[in-house]
Amino acid sequence: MNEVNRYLDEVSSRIKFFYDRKSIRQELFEHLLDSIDDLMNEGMSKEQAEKQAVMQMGNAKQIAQELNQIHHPILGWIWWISNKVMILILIPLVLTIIVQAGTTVYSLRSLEPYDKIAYSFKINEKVTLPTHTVFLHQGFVLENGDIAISYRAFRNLLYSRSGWSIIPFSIIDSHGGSSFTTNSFLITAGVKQFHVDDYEDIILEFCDGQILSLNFAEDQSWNE
Amino acid sequence: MQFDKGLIAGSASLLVLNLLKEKECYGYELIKTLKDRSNDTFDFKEGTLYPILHRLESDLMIESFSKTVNGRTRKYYRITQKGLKQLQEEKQQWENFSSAINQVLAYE
Repeated sequence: MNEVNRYLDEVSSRIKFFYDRKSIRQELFEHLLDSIDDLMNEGMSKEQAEKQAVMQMGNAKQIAQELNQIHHPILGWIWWISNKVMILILIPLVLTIIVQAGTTVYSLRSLEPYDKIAYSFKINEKVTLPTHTVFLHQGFVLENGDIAISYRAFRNLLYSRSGWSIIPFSIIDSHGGSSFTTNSFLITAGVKQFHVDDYEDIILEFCDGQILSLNFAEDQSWNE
Repeated sequence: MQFDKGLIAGSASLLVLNLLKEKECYGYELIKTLKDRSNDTFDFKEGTLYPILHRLESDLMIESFSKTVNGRTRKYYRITQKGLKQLQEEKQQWENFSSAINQVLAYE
């Protein structure tokens, strides 16, 4: 096989677009194997057949030259790089889509606090902010005395100055401040729990300055 | 018989496309068929087939795939729709060309 390998080395080492070297070498190798088989069937010895097969292939330099016109190194590398770049662009894109889809599905789950509920009531308030549209669904008073609010927030697609640190709203209790955040995903949902001293004047402050005052007391008229 | 190089190069893609129209082939198979059918008239160097095949592939006239038959994995080629169209055109050109040559040669 020395003769064969020397020939294959000679061709493939001259292929400038070395990314294609292996496949070209393999194809010529397959050809030589077939050729040697046939020549041996015609009665040649192994050595003779190898020599003859290589001879029938023709000048290695000339074939490599002709192949180089097709497996052009510059065009080849442009193609190769653009393929890699495409993958580099696609991976984050696919990951983003998966995360978005995941949070969307997650956000569709029923929104209930983890702790035991003493009583709940419907809030049904829609608040339109520059960054988000926030739906406040239910208010809860829990057996441990905390309150909770369930919400869904839809990010405004036209709001391009996105970031991960947008805080659409925060809740300020009568003693001032517990803050309430959501991330910049398209849809987020959750239940946020707070410790408060007073159920009657729970103030929600939104990022654009809007204020919503909620009453969590049990005797309220819209209690469920 | 040895032919003028340009003559073979010009008609090689026509011959290759015509063979691949019949069935998918690997390189060595193509050469064997070419030699058989031309009664060994086309005694060209076998390696020169591969630049022709690779050119046709990069022009999307044919496509390649790897197939294992009887334990031997080889690179096969098959003709594409574009290749079939090209074959038809080249065949027509060849017929026009050869009949014109024959007409001229008939005047002795």
